[in-house]
Amino acid sequence: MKKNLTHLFIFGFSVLFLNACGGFKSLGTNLLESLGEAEVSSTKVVAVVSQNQILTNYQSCLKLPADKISSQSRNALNDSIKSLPPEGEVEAISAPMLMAVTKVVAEVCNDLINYEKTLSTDRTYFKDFNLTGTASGKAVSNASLEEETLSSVDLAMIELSRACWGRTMTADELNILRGALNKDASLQTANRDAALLSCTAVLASSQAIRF
Amino acid sequence: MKRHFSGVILSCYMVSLLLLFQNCKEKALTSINDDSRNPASISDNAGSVRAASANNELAVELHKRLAGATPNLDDPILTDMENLISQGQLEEAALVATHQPSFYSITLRDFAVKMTNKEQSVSFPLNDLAATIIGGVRDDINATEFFTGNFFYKGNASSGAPQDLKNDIILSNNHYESLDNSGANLMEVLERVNGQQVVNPQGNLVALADSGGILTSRAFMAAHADAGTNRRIIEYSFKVFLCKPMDEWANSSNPDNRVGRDVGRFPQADYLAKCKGCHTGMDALRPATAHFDFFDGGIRYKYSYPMDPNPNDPSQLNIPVASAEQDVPYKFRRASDNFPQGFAVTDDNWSNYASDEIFGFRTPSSGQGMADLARLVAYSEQFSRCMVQRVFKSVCRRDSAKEEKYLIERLAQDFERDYNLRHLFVNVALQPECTGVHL
Repeated sequence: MKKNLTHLFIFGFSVLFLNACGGFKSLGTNLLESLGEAEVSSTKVVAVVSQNQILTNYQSCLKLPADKISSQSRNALNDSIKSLPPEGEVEAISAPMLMAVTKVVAEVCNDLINYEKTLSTDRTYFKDFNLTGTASGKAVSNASLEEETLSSVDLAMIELSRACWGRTMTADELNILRGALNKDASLQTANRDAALLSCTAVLASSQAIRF
Repeated sequence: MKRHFSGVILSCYMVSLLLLFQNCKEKALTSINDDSRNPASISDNAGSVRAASANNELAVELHKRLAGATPNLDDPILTDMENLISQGQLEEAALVATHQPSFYSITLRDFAVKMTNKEQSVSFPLNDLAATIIGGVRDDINATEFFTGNFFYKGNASSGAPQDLKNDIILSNNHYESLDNSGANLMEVLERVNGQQVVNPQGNLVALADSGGILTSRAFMAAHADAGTNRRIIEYSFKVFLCKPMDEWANSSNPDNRVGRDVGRFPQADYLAKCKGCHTGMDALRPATAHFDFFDGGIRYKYSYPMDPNPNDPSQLNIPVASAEQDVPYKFRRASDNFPQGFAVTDDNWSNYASDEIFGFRTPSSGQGMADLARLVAYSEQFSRCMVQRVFKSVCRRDSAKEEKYLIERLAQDFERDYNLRHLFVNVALQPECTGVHL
């Protein structure tokens, strides 16, 4: 489990590296103040997910039934709520904040996996995954992006991005996540661990927490 | 799963973030077409960074701003919004987002909860005031009725929240905290209850004779009438619902004939420089609260106080109270030796010395009790401006700038057409100053 956790953080780093580049353009009271009164017109201010928003946001974007959000998820939020910005202020981005998000997201992903496990045919995200824990299922793809043979894990990550990023993952982003996943042989099958790590990486990324 | 977050990992995060932001500008993005769930459609395309159409992008943005949640791209609600946008029906598209549960449980909840505590923070539990605003918006109630109406909202029987009116709602916040903790769908479970109630000296529930809407809600009174001198009720009524902190409406040129006995007048220079400006306006309005107190978990209205605590031994109630003041809590007589010639509050008749120029009052400059005070607040021009400022902050994630004064004024005038907060949220979300999108 500790090993998985390490992977989870590596994934988090990777996706954070990638996504913030398209991200925060302006914002921050200090910046606005430094620019004076004339700056703000027609400026979209970017924020990040807030304390009260985080669980509802993931539940909404994943279309996860409300009763599938577990007490573990709520406890994870309560444990780390002080690290999350009350109103989504970008200035509040910090290492503890991102770790708090990752902690909550890992539990939400666990809830999502548990929910999808009960769906034998109509899974949205983890199609063709063996979610019972033992390794099996389709191997992670090393195919080039032009090929039509994306793996179950690839498709899960793309579907998760469509759900919670408000856009589809780019080819670069997918490649980075694949690279991280391919570093560990135990994660190269579409099993529960791969589902948990790929889900956490996508949902804890800056694109997913950006408002 | 037990998780341990070590300092090493924390350091890694910090370093990673630094690198991340340094390298941002050099990164070339590639795109995937919107129908990219078909693997064949994934392709590198350095010229494009957008995966979705402009309509889709606007629909996603409106959903995030209003509903407070990222929409799933496969959600039919998003398709509905895109279709409405493509037909030029932007308001209708935005209204769709305001009918999502998360609009109530995230956006409105935070908007309302901030108005219920001294810190003006969202990090407080749901309460009767916030629930009333959330429920009232759902039912498209005229916003002035939050002040002039005599009702509140609570969770219905199926919400799972404890339903003992006296113990869970009037004398505690148990009911609302339970709604909060259970993640109840506020859009569905809130129901209106007509008639505010309080506990009488015998411990029975009775109708509140002087309802000031949300100004006499349990949450507002718990925040501002607990202990103190009840001046906080006035200060925060103006600060929260008129967006004017005390220092912005203090005026030393007002008469001080209503300043209380507990405000010392000497040395006079200090009084004139430090005290008078705030107390003239605040103390003239304070009698509106003369019959209110908050203790043992609930609002107390028009209790009889024949004896006050002995200053040498506060546990002893043995100081007789003048008959004219026996309907008024001790907090109005505390430290009255400071200036015995000061104004003694004996009833709830108040005067308003606050500036018409600042607030744009439209009701008489004197009144009786909290009901009239609530009308003074709700019907003022500044109330509309304040609601616009608050909604702007909530939807646009920033305070409006000074240069946007005319935008706020225009939105306030629009708001006064129907005083509908849902429409105000939509109107604000559609402003290019808010989303950065020129529609």
